[in-house]
Formats: sequence, C-alpha cells, structure tokens
Amino acid sequence: MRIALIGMPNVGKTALFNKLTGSFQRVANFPGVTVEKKTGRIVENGKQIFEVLDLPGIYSLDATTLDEKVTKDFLLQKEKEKSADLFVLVLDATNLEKSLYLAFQLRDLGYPLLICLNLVDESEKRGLKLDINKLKAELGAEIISTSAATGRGVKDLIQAMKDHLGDKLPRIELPENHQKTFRSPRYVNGIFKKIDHLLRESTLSPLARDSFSEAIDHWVLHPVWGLFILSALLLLVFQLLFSWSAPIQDLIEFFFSFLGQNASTLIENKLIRSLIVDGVINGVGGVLVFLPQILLLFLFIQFLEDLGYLGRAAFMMDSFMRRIGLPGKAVIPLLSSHACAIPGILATRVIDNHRERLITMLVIPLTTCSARLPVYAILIAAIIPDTAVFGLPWLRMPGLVLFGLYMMGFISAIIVSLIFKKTLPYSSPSMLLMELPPYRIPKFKNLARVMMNKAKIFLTKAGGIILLVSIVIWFLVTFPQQNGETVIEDSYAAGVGKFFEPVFRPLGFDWRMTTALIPSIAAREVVVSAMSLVLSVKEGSEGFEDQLASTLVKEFGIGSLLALLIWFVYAPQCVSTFAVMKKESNSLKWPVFMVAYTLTLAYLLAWLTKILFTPS
Amino acid sequence: MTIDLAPLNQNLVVRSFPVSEERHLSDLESRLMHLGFFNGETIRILKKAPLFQEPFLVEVRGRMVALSKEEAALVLVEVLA
Repeated sequence: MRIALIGMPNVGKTALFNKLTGSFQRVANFPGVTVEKKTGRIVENGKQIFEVLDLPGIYSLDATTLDEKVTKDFLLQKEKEKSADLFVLVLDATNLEKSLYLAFQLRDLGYPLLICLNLVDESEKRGLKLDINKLKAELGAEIISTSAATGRGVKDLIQAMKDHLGDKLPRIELPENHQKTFRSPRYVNGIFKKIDHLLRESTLSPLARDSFSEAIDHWVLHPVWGLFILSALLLLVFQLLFSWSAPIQDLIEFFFSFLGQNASTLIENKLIRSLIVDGVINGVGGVLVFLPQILLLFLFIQFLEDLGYLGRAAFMMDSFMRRIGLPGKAVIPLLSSHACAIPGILATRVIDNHRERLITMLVIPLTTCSARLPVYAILIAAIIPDTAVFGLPWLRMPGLVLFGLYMMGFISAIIVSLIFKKTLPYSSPSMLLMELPPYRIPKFKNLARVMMNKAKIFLTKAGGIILLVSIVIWFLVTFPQQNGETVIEDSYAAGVGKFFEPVFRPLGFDWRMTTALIPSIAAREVVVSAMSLVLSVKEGSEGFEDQLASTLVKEFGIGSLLALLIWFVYAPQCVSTFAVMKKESNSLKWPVFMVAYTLTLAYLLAWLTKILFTPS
Repeated sequence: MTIDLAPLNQNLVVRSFPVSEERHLSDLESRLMHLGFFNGETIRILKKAPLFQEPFLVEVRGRMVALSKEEAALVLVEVLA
C-alpha cells in the first residue's frame, strides 16, 4: 500500500518522512523532470507494511510550479505510477492560518484524509491550545499530533495508517472548470473565511509570536550586520572548499598512488599494467579527488537550508543578482563552482525558475574551477616574471595575473548571463516571491543522509562516463605501439592532434600542444603531465616545473602561451561537467550548446590574445 | 499606494487586489493571492533588503514573504488608521 505525504512547503514534511522511514529510503527524480522523488518504506518485523512517498510541497491545487504540478498529478491519480492509496496531509501547528488552506481545499473535493498536526512541541511551547475535536469535526478527518523532531506521535500516526490498510482512494472527480475555480478570488477568499472562522472557534489559547526567529532575523537581515554575516559565510565556503578539504584530498591522492604502485608490482603484463595504472586508477582518481569538496559543500548548503538561512541569503542578494540576469539563489551555485563545476551545477536545484536555472548552469563553466590552478601555475611561471607591482614587495606580478584570470572568468560570467537573459527563450516570468521559513536547528541525521545521496549521484551518474573517457584517452595516447613501446609522436592521440593542428595554428599551437589538450577533456589538471609527455620533459624529476616552463617558452613563445592561458579561461569544462549538466538539464541540447559557446569564446579570445601579444 | 512605497512596520490593509473576478489572473498574481494578499487582509512590511532597498519582507497571514520590487508594486495597500 502506498501512502503519500502531502503538505505546504516548510511544514516539516520531510523531517516527518525521515522519522517514519528511517534509513529505508531512496532519492531519485520523477520521470522526465528534475523534481526530487523521495520514496521510503515503513518496515515492521522485517516486513514492509507501507511504501511512503514524500511529495513536493504544494501551496494549493492551483499549481504553478513544476514541483506543484507533480504533486497535483498524484492527487488527480493521473497515471498508475503517479498515484497513492492514502494521502497524509501534514499541517504546521505553528502556522495553521497558512497550512489549513490545503486541508479545506482537499476536504471540499471529498478526499479522505489522514491529518498529521506536526510541530506540536513548538506550538505548545509557544502557548497554543487547540480544541482538537472541533478541528476533527470541521475537517471531517482524523487528526494525529506529531513532532518529527522528537518522534512524538509517530507511532500513533503509523497506527492510524494501519487502520486504513487496504483502503483504496475513491475516484475524485474535479468540478468542471476547476482550473478557473481554483484561481478565482471568490473561491480563495471563501477558504480564507473558513480558516479564520475555524481558528476563532477552535483556538483555546493563542500562539505567541516566534520571538526566536525574530531575534535572529534582527541581525541576519540587518543592513550592515546582515551583509557582514553573509560575506563571512561565503568566505567560509571558499575556505572550506580550498583548505579544509585539502587533507582529505591528499589522502585520496595518496590512496590512488598507493593503489597504482601496488598494481604496478602485481601486474606482470606491461600493457594491462599501463591500462590499470595509467588509465583506470589515475584517470578515476583524478576525478574522485574532488569528492570531498563536493560533499563538504553539500553539507554546508544543506546545513544552511535546514537552518532556514538560504532563503535569507537569496533575499539579500536578489536585487544585485537580478541586475546581472540571475536570481538571488544563484549565489551559492556560482560560488561553489569555483571549487568544481559539478557541485555548482548540482546546487542549481535550489533555483525553481527553469530558465534562470539553465542560465546559471550555462555560465558556471566560466568561473575558475580549482582543477585549472595547476595549469595556470605552470603557464604563469613560464611567462610572467616574478616582479613587484607598483614597487610593493608583497604585491607580485604572478599573483596579480592569477587574480586577473579569476576576475576574467567572473566578469565573463556576468556578461554572458546578461546576453542569455536577453536571448534565451522565455518560459515563465522570473519570480522572487518566496516564503522565508522560521529558523530550525538542523538534524545531523538528515545532513548525513543528504550527503550520502549526493555522493551516490556523483559516483554513479558521472562515474561511468569518467571511467569510460579515462580508458579511451589512455588508449589514444598508448597505441599503436612499436616493439611494445609507445612513441607519443605516432600515437592515435598525436594523430588527432595533427588532424586539428591546422585549426589551432592561428593560435600558435602545433600538434604537440593540440595533443596535450586532448586529455583535458577528462580533467584539467592532467594537461600538465600531458605537456611534459609531448615535450619530453621528464615529470617528477628535480626542477621539473622550471624545466617545463622554459621548454614551453622556447618552443611556443610568449604570445602562444598567453593564448593558451586565455584558452583555459574559456574552454569547455571537463566531460564530467558535461555529464552532470546533461542529467540536470534533462537534455542533450544544453550541454552541447554550453560546449559550443565556450569553445567559440575560447578560440576567438585566444586568437585575439595571440595577435595582440606576438611581437611583429 | 503600493507595497514598494508603503511605510515599514505599520499595519497596512490590502486594497483592490486581485482587481476583479472576471479578469484572468497570471501565475504571479494567483500566487500572491494564495499567499494572502487579498482585499481586507492586514499585512506588515518588516524589512527592506540592504544594498538596493528591495526586495521587501512582508508578514501576511502568518507567513514571512519576500517580494521583489515589481511584485510589491502589484499590491495596493492603505495604512490602517
């Protein structure tokens, strides 16, 4: 038997779902849309008694968002997969004025309901006393008081569900013209009147104001302190992504090099050894190294979300972000993408407007992800002299250039988003209109669960493609072999490089450079080792970086190397970004478009750089 | 006056929203109405966001709702005497 939890946003529905189903749950998407579908099981004595669905929050049956439409499909029992045998309506006891709307709407249509009055611990603390019998009589439904935070009433709720075991939902016929009716002011006002009347009749002692949330908001939304807190938090995210995850990343790198070394000694066959060590272990390890950053970021975002802060951040940033064509909620994804584009793209889920979410995803590749740093470092070392700027000993040219590259990406992202805002097909008007939830203390269990799910999504969805591309690239740089040895000049990769050489000649890249660019499709940071391979500079030797840098200058000249630097500011991100974007945008069109526009930008701007900086 | 021009922290009463029964309401107007921006409801503007003095944070029917300037300009209000 399938039970669906339904309710307005921010009524503690998901917390209740977690309490009901414990660890027996699964997160996926509803078919065809990127609306999260959470299913779980209630298990008793090792046997499943109920399948529980946590439906997206819905304000009313006048569904306007994608999330709401999914929930409405369930209420209308449109398809077999989108149906339930019993609806449990979750109400927020600390805010009945809002959450009773759905109760009346569903009751009037004749839905048999089981009502769960959630958050009663908090409402009682704030002095609310209700005449439950009056509520029951008026709503014509059984009412169970629960508190998902403490688990109070959850057993009663399951018992009440059991009383409905075997029930089938009767066919609900919606009135004709229901779409018009649900949006009619007279109808809406009628329900408001019923709510006000019922609350007057059944409130024995009124609810005190939420002084806790008000006190926090005094500081968090303060004109000066509010911005200070927001900047501090954003800085903390940066810090978290770059520094705190470093030791864990080192550990993962160490693990993979340990694995590679062991595999090297264990595998006799030279070719298989190369496949396993260079192809699989190094390739996959190079991407898995970003998993700690991704997980830490999501821990942080989920913490702020559960706390109720994320909406406040969007509220404060909205007017600024909107001027550059993006919603306030895009702050977090854009910031995260400085670590890695993948968590950035995953984090765009907080943006409800489809078009704005798409624009955010499309500009994310322009921000400077951390995988580009090794490439930037080598190139800057090669072409930028380490001199002081303006005679200031602490302000060095290389640092300034690095900062300039970050700014270039950031400013390009703003310009491109302004262009997309003007040109991309317009679907629905951009709305800020959102409810700010009261503050609540995040539950560790929920945070851990969300992190596990994100890790799973990253590993399963992106992992397969990453493995595949790693093996393909290994194949290209290894074959064909002569007398069991690889000669890079004759490899398939070099063949591809030579094929593209004419295209890149205006930028001053020869076949060696184009060959070295191929592995960057898998991951940026491998370009350094690819360059050393084609230029025959032995990696890992002493003074390797200086040697590579001087070889680069000798072989290509300043103009081409600057062009290469600019190329990396704009060039399409790695294949994992493509894979995640394909999944998140639910289309092949947009990731292909992303690659096309970034390639065009990269080529044109690199070419321009080459022309400007080549002495004639 | 509309919400974007109304004073902070005073009881305001919504006038003439939604405009009429016959006119088709947009998604945005409908959402505003469902959140409680309705003739006769009492609301309060709690805050304006820093930087550009928008969006607005409004208390309406027990909720805290954030409205952009354009959204706030849709709702007519009057200071409650």
